[in-house]
Amino acid sequence: MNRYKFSALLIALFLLNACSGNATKDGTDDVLVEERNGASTSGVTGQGADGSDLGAEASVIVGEDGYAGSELNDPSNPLSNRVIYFDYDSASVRPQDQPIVEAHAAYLGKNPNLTVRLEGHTDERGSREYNLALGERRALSIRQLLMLQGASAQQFRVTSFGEERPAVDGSDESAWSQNRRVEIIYIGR
Amino acid sequence: MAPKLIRSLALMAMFFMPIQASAVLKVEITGGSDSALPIAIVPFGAEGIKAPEDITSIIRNDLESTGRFAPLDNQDLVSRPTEQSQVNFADWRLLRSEGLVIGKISSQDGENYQVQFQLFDVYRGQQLAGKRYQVPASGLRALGHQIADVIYETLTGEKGIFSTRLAFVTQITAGDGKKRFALQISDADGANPRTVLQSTQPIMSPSWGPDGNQLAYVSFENGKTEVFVQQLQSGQRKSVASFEGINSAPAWSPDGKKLALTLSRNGNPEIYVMELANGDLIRVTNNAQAIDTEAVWSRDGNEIYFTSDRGGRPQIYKVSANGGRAERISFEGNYNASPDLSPDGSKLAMVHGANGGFYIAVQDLKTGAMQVLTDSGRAESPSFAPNGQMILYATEQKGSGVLAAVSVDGRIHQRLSESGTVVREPAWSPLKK
Amino acid sequence: MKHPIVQTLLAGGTSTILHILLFLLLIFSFDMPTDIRQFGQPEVEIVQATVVDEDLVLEEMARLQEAEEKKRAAEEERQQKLDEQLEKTQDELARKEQEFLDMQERAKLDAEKLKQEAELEQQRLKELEQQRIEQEEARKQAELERQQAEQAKQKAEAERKAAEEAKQRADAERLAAEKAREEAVAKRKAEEEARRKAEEEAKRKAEEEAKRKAEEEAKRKAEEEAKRKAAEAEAKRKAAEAEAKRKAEAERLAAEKSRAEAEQALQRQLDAEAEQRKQKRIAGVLDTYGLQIQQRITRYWTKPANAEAGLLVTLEVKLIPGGDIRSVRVIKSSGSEIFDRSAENAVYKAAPMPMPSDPDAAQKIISEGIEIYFKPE
Repeated sequence: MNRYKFSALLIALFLLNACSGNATKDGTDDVLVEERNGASTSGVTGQGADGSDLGAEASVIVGEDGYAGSELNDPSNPLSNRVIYFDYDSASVRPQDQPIVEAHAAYLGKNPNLTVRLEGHTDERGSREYNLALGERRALSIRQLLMLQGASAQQFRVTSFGEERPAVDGSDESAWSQNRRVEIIYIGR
Repeated sequence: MAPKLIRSLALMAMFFMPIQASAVLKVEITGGSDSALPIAIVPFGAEGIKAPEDITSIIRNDLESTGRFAPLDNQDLVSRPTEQSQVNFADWRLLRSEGLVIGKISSQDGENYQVQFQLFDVYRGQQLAGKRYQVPASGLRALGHQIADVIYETLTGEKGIFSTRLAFVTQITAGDGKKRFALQISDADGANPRTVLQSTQPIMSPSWGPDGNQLAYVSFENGKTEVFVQQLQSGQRKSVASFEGINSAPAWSPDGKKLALTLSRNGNPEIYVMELANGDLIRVTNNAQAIDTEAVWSRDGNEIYFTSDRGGRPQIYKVSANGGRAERISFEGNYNASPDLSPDGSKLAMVHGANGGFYIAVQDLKTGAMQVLTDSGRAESPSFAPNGQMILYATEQKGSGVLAAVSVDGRIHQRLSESGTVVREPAWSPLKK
Repeated sequence: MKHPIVQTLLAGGTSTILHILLFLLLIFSFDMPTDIRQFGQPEVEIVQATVVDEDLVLEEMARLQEAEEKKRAAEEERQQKLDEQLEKTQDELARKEQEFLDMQERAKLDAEKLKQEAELEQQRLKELEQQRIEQEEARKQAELERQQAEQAKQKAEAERKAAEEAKQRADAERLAAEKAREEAVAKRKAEEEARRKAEEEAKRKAEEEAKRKAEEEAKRKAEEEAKRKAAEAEAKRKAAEAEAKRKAEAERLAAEKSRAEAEQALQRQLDAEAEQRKQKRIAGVLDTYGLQIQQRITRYWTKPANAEAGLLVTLEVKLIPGGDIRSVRVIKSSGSEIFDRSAENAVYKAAPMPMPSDPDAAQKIISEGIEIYFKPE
């Protein structure tokens, strides 16, 4: 046991050292998560590129009901951003995504007839069932923020798909970072 | 004084005379070879017929797949006896084959087949096992597995698992780019797969009922998680959990009367136990801030192992099936999830995250010692074989999910499916009752 | 001057006086008063009165007178002598007896006085007698009286004679007695002396004897003691010698034994060492051989994958000279049939075994076989 722990610690230190060079968001967030929980500082992730700027490329997803307001389709409008991305194993909205969440909150607040489905997703790594719960946690995290900023509880349906419906197939950080997300899907008035 | 001294010295010399001088040569053999057991499987004699199934190959593959048997190549066989009278053991000894399997297959009508086999101890020239069967053509494959089970059990002392089945989820991407999901079951060797559920939506977490005749699973077919129980013989299915939020991670109690589930109907994923007869629920965990999921029953049905991140990162815990205070079980590293309990209840297989990878690990519940069994870093969904010797799991090969198995000591690795179809979430059936 | 009593006596008759004198004399002459009466009685009874013829008497008287005269003279003389002797004797007696009793002294003095008186009396009586004879002659008438007197005289004479005799006899006896007494005394003294001397001598002799005996005894004892001591010392010495000898012998034997044993032990040791060297050589060969066997069997042992730690099977393997298996026997099963079989098969598969070139080692392997333990790890 001790030997395992010791080697785990060594590996962790090695990884932290390796990560510090490219200062990935994942790595940073991972450490933050651990600090929050007071657990060991070893990193589970630490591989892959910075996924923070990939969100802009996410395609617009239109709900099955086919609703698409003009604001939502205006690429210059923040509402056209309806995918919030997350760091690995995190349900915290990143600061740069806060304006998007605020915009949606304001929009939902102005349009109380609108209903959205919040779909939580994770990347493929780790336990599928855990990821299912993590996806839900992300969706609930967004719902919480939206409600704090003007939306009401009745406007939401929350669903988690875990890792089952990745936005991008692939087993690299590029794919994973696009898959760790909550999709805000307007489903109608 | 001097003579006394001499005398005592002489006595001492006699006492300390080396004992090995008169002892038999003793040799200690430790370790030995981990290599597979050499065994000769002579193609069964088919008397003037062409059988629809190559039983000999089935047996041979079964045994070989475990990594514990090394069947001789057919071209190395010194002779091809089909009856004991034709066997010259000295020949087989020269090949250093410890076991010899011979058999015959015959049919009068091409519909029903008579099959017999014999297993010999080559060095003693003794028969270790021998049976005669009569099966329809459709049963020949199953019979092959059955014979492999007999041979396996005779030579290893463990139950053969070749007649058991696997359940797993497949995913194919159709020509239109859309994904198709299927819940399938197959023979233990991965062969003979048959779909029991097909969906355009994901399917998760198949779980065998203890009788081996029903499966519980999670289907997204209605746009959200929902737990179903399906009878395999009839194909009849029933949604048992479709609450608000997550309905997932079904696990059968050992007596088959209850289903442990993960439900977030109250806002947070918690473990519940459902009485299948009436759908009554008992909440087992209560931790609003944490994810509690992936329940596994203890063998006596009194306790539930589960995954929780209540400590910050996912780890394995144990709680009474009636609820109460949970006890942390896993301590190695900062990611342990997807527990599965060995049939004898002594070991817990799990996904162990380390160095950014995920591995199959097994923890001895008595000592707490954990051993990592795989090295690919892409492993998930461990499931114990019903004889406890192997752990089936999903991994990735060339970007495609495949099934693999590892012996509980980590020495034997085998692949159960070829890449091409994404195969995941395997679950090994219980032994046939 | 005459004492009235004496006058009377003289008048009464001289014989009576004589008798009294004699009597007194006798009384006082003997030193033993008890004898007095015995001496006096016969004298009294002897006296006899006799009547005689006148003529005869006259004749006789004349003759007698003459005889008497003579006799009287003789008597006187004798008396004188006797008196003298008596006196002498009396003196002697008195002197002799002086020492003894005062009574005797006084008596003696009295006796002397009486004697002197008696002497005087006798003088006077003599004179009177003469007067009377002369008168008789003169007067015949007085014959009778004279006869009587004669008779008395005779009687007295007889008495005197008797007394004389008695006296003589007494004297003799007395002398004899005296002598005897003296002799006796002397004898007694002598005897006494002799006795004393004898006693002294005896005593001296006894003392001497005792002394001698004591000396002898002491000497003897001393000698004996010395002898005993000497004997003891001798015994001791002998014992010590014997012990020393025995010890020496025992030591010699022990030393002999020890030496023999040491030699034997040494021989044994040498033998053992030789055997040991042989065994060591064999052991050396066997060590190497054991490794060979171990490697070979290990290579052929397909250990059951599920063999749990702690399993242990012990096989006894016998070979034939070529190295082929003669027999494989499970001495102690692991409890797992599968594990046991895998071990047995390993041995069979490893055959034929190599054999050591050392014939002793090979022989040992052939004869004793090999014990092989199989453990999973």
